[in-house]
Amino acid sequence: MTTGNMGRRQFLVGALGALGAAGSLVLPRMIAQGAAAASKRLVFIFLRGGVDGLGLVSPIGGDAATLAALRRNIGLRDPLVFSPTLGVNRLLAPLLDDASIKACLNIVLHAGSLNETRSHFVQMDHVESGNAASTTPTGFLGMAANALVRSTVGVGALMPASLRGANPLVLSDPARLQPQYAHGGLKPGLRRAQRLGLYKLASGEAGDTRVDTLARQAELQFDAVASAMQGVTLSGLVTAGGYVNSPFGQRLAVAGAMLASPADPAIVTIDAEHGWDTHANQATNDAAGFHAYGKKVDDLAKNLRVFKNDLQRRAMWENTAIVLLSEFGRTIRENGNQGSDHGRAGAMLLLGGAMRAHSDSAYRGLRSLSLPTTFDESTALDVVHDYRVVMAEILERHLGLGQAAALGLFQPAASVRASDYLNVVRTAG
Amino acid sequence: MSSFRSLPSNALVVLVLCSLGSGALAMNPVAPATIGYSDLTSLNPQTNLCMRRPVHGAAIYAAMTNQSAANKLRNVELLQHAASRLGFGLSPFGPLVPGNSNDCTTVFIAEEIVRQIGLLGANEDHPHVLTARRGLLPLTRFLRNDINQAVARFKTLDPSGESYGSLWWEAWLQVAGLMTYREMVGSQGLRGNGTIVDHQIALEEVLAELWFNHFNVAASKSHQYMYGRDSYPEALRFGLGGTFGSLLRVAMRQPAMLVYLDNQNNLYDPATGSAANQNLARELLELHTFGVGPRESPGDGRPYGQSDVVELAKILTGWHAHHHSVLLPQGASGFVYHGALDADVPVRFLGTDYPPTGEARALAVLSALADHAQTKTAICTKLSRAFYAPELLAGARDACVAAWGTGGDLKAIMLALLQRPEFWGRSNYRKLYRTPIEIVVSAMRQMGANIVDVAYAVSAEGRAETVFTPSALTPSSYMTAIRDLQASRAAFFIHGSNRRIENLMGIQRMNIAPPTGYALDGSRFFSTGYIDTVSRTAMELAGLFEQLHTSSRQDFTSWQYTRPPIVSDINASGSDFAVQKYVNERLAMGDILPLARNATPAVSPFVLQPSHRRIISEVAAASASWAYWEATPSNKVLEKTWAGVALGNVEQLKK
Repeated sequence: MTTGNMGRRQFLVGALGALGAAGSLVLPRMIAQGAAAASKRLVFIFLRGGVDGLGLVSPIGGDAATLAALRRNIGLRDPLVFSPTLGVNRLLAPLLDDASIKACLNIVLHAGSLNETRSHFVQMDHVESGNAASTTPTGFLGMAANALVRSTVGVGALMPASLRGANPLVLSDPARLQPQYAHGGLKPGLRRAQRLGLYKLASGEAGDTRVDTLARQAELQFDAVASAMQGVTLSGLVTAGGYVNSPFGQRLAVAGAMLASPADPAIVTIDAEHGWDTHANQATNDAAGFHAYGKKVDDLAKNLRVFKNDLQRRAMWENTAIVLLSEFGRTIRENGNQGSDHGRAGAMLLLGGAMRAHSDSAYRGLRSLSLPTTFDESTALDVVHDYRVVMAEILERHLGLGQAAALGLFQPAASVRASDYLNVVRTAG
Repeated sequence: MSSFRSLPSNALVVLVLCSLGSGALAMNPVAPATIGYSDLTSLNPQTNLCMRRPVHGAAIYAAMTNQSAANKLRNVELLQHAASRLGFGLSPFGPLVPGNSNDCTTVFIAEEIVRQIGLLGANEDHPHVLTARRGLLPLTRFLRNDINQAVARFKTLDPSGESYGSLWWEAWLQVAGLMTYREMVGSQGLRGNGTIVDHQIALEEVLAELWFNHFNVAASKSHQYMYGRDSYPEALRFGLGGTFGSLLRVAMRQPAMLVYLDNQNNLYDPATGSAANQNLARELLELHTFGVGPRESPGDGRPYGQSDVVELAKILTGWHAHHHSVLLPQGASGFVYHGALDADVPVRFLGTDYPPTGEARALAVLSALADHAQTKTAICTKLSRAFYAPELLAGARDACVAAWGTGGDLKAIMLALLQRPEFWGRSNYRKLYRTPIEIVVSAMRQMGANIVDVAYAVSAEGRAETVFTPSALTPSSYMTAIRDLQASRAAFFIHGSNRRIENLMGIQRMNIAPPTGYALDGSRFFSTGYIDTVSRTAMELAGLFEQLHTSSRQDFTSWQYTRPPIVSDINASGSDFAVQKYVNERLAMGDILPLARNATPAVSPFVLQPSHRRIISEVAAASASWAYWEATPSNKVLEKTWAGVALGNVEQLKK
């Protein structure tokens, strides 16, 4: 925080009054455009539905033959060599073929939640709250952003649970940032301040304070970025960036624009819609086909590469960490419908100039991708690395949160320890 | 169709598929037998009570009125409460409006609730709604299998894929349009003198949506199984008046659900001793019945574990749907039990052994689940959440469980929930937040959506369903017809409303991807972006009424609702008075703005903040704020602007 901003922030906080823990107000940091490049950023991409980790990576040698027998239809065909012990889905070629990405691409195996539930919705709640035992009404990323006193953006239509507790700017279409916009035959006569005024309480009025807070924050956030986003449209961003025009590509395009905007968010979340739940016809290796896993991996890889280009153009790549994870992985043995059912550990993908490249032997406690000795339809990869350990390290060493604060985001207390960090963050020198 | 009403509820499921005659379920309200529209002004001058007393609704009326002074709601508040919890908000048509509220409107609502509960699952669309449906949503008039046969034909005749791709997609969009339109106008009928009367509550519509959301299916995965006259939502509607158990059976045997949760491929592999796929089994337990995830540790109190999911998956093997291209017998739903693919082994599920009796075994499990204590708790909690403030949940849930009977008697449960004083007290008043669907539909209702306008538009546009008769369609005749329909302004009235719902929810209705559906608590949608979008939603919706004005409604005398003479009111009494009069009288909000004439505050069902009243008046006075590209004010411009602003207000978020 610069002293120039301090005065304004104090003024705004004072005017709006104190708020309880659940409604903490985090104001967007108003910074000059040029300062944006130096900010540290995290892009958190939640692939919902339980992504099949073994469809992304598989062992070279070792258990490869066992896995092939268990996954006759959904196993990896002609995987690309990623490391001495790992092959990856051919459809990830756009990531491996790009020198900037290859230099920082990391796959954390056997990663997942300590909680054993195989329910999507319960596990997503555990992941997003950071609470492995029970549930908390806040999101660990939202609370981290509050502690950093930095803003957050959720790209998608709805606020993700991981950002609960902060007041993220949630949007899927930048055109809506404009204070007045014409719709159909309507002229933009009504100003945002008038519209939102109908949701705010004037001093001395009693009413819905929750909506009042949101309306005030909406006005601050949107006005802060609106002038920088004049004329920016979703299709314009997709085209200019060269993104594949899929829902995921659109969200990355918006994320890039919001990262570079005056909102200067520390954390941007992207929700990839709930389509990874491949109980049938997984089509792991097939880039065509409706809803197929392969199609989504192909889309993911191509658009992530474009996102890298976008961030490099905006001089933000070096200071950005990108995380992709899912609530759980899937069963090792394919099911009778050429798909897989809910499992435990999956794979976390990490990239971005701020991240260290994968090394098979780099982590404490790592072993090669390893399979259990007996299988039934429910057998899944065991969780060796708690995803929260990876996130705590990123929040501390990359975004600059204090260690105690980073570890304190997670419940039960002391369930995440710095001594377990995997050194995924690139450090200077 | 009248024979439906006397049948025991479990016979409905069997007969439903054979009786899809005019087969249109929604509402077609008539006044209760015990109190008519003309009785609504008959008050006893000494007691101020209605001359007509409640009969069937006596218990509900008692619950409404036997309250402590602090907790008792005024008649106008009871009307608003009923409309927004048991319907989609107030409409300005007819005598049941805030300005006329008194003990008679309270009696009417009590009688009407009981009348509507009695008709759950057995209603029919009003003839005007049917007209709109035939003209604007014609694909909802034909059997799904007939539409799918046309799709199969198009696939061979049109290799480009354009025609069948369009037909597939349009068909479900029209079902979604029908759901929205029925919510907008389902509580409306016509009086003998031709005027529109709105009953303000719409239990069939509210419950149809609640159960669709509970048994959520997404169009992007299952649309070929969701549309047509025998659509998936319609199949659920038939079960609204039966038991939870029979509704569960309907949902679990609908191809839409089986495809959505991958069970139509679930078969048993004797070599491995496992079912192919656990998806339906898992969600049937976690979402549809028990409402909780599986045990995470031994003794954590949850009623089932991962192994039960695996065993239930075996029980559900062979429980399939025919592919959508298969030609079915007339009226068949598409469900098929494939015995050869079923698990021919005994299965132990929830501590009970089930020998391999095929389809009967799965039906037995569904019945057992419907009467399981955890199911009663979960379903009753969900129903209570829809109608009660969070602090009042426990009592409501217990009353629901007590009324469960065998299988969950849905009518008895609704009566039990609504006969409680806690439902009708101030502590339950305006304590919930509207969902995106409710925000959009209630705004449309308040701005004057009605059954006559759209029916006129259909006649004016000369539309009929016959041009879409599936057996006669060719790829090119279909493409011509659908392009013409897509250009219909009257159809845009409906589809444009659905676009606003999509803006708020982030996805179209009927297309929510995860089986959890959407949150019943509207505040779960809240974010800064949501509030910003909501604040402009009513203004955007207001523009949709233009679609009807120019395409129809030339004959104002046959439609009894006259356009508000805003311009002449301004000329006569000034802009401030004109906007107050318009908002108070025309948006079913009661006297929320202080009027120059003598209006008591008691007529308003809720209070608008002074700062909000000021903004509404400011916008009304400043032409720069008006919504249309017109230099001079007109009734049209002002009506849309003022409605859009008055309804873009925090009070509209609540119910």
